[in-house]
Amino acid sequence: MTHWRLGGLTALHWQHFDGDWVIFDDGSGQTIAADPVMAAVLMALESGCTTVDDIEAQVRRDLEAHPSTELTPQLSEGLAFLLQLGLVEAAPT
Amino acid sequence: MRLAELGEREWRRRLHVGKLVVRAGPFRYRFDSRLPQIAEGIGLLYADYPVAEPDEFADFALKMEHGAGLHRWWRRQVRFSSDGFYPFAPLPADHAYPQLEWAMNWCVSTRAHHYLMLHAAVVERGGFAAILPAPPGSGKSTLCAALVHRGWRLLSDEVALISLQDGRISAAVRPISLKNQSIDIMRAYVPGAVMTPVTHGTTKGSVTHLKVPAEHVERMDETAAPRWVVFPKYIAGAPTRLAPYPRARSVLDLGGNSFNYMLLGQTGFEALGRLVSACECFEFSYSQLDEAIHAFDGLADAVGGHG
Repeated sequence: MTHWRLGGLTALHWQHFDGDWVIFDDGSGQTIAADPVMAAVLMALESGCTTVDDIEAQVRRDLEAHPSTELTPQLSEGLAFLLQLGLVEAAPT
Repeated sequence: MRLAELGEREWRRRLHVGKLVVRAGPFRYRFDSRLPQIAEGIGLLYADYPVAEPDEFADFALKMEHGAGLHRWWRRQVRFSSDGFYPFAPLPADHAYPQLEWAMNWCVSTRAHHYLMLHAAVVERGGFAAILPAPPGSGKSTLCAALVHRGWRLLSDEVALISLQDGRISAAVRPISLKNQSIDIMRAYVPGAVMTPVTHGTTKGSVTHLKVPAEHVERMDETAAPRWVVFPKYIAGAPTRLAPYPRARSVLDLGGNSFNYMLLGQTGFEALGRLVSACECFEFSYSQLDEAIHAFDGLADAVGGHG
C-alpha cells in the first residue's frame, strides 16, 4: 500500500472563490487552482491522512458525497497531478 | 513646478548634465542625455509633469547616450544605462525615444517591489479601477488609449501598481505606447492627439507614444479602488462580448502576468487574492472601440461611477 504525505517543504495557503480554491505553496512558489475534490484531497493530507482509503474517507465526509458516488478515479488522478508538481510524496510500505 | 513652467532652456540644461528629475505618479526619474530625440520626446510628452529640484532624490536614474566607438558616428546607436549598469544591447540611434520609455518601464518592473506589479493597463472612473491585463497584440493599449479619451482616467498603460498595505492602485501615469495599426486607429479616433514621431523597425514594429491628457497628469496622486479585472482581446470583426471569468482562473492569469508575484511569495498571493475578491472578473473580446467603451461605461454606471 502506498502512503501519501505533503512534501517536506510544502506549506499551503488557501483562498476560496465561488466554489474553487486557489492554493499557494510557500515551499515551491507554485500557485494552483483546485476543484472541490482536489482541494479536499490536499486538506486531507494536511490533516494527516496517509493511505488512499483514509484520504477517500475524509474527502467523502468533507464533500458529503453520496456512498454511490465514484471518487477513486478522480482521487488517483489528483494525487498523480500533485505528485508531478512535487507538492506530495508517495512512499511504498 | 511643471516641466513647461521651468522653461525649455533650463530643463534642457538639467537634462544635459543629468539633473532633470521628473515625477510620474509615485516615482521620480532622473534623466541624463544629450541626445536631441530624448529632449524632443520629453519636451513633447512630459511638459505637464512636476519636476523636482536637481539634487533631490530620484527613484531611478536613466542615462541615454551615444553608441560607443565607431557606433557614435557609423551605424549610430543609443545606449541606456542606470547607475552605471547597461542591461540591454545598444539599439539604432533613431530608437532612442522609445528605448527611454521602455527603460523607464524596466526600472519600475525590476525594482518597485513594495507594490504587487501586474503587467496591465489600468483606467479609472468614479474612483473605481478597471485592470486590463493582456499579452502584446491583445489590443490592450489601443483600448486603454480610447478609454482615456472617452471619460476614463489613465492610471497606467503598462503596470498596475497595487499597494501591499491597502490594495489600492497608484497612478503610474505615463505616455501610452501605440504600435503598428493602432497608431492610425488612434489618430483617427482622437483628432489632435499628440504623439512622438513614429519609430519604425523596432522589435515591436512601428511605435509611437501618445501624450497623456493634462488633467490626468494633475490627478497622478489619486489612487483608485480595484473593481474590475477585464482580460481584453481584439478580434477583427468580432462582436463585443463581455463575459464573466472565474475568479480562481483570474488569480492564476494575473499571477502569470505579474512582474513580481513569484518574488513576493505569500505576500503577493495574499495581495492578489484580496484584489480578485474585490473585483468582478471578465473576459472581453471586441473589434469596435465605440462598442467597447460602451461596455466599460456600463460597468461603471452599474456601480454609480459617473466621475
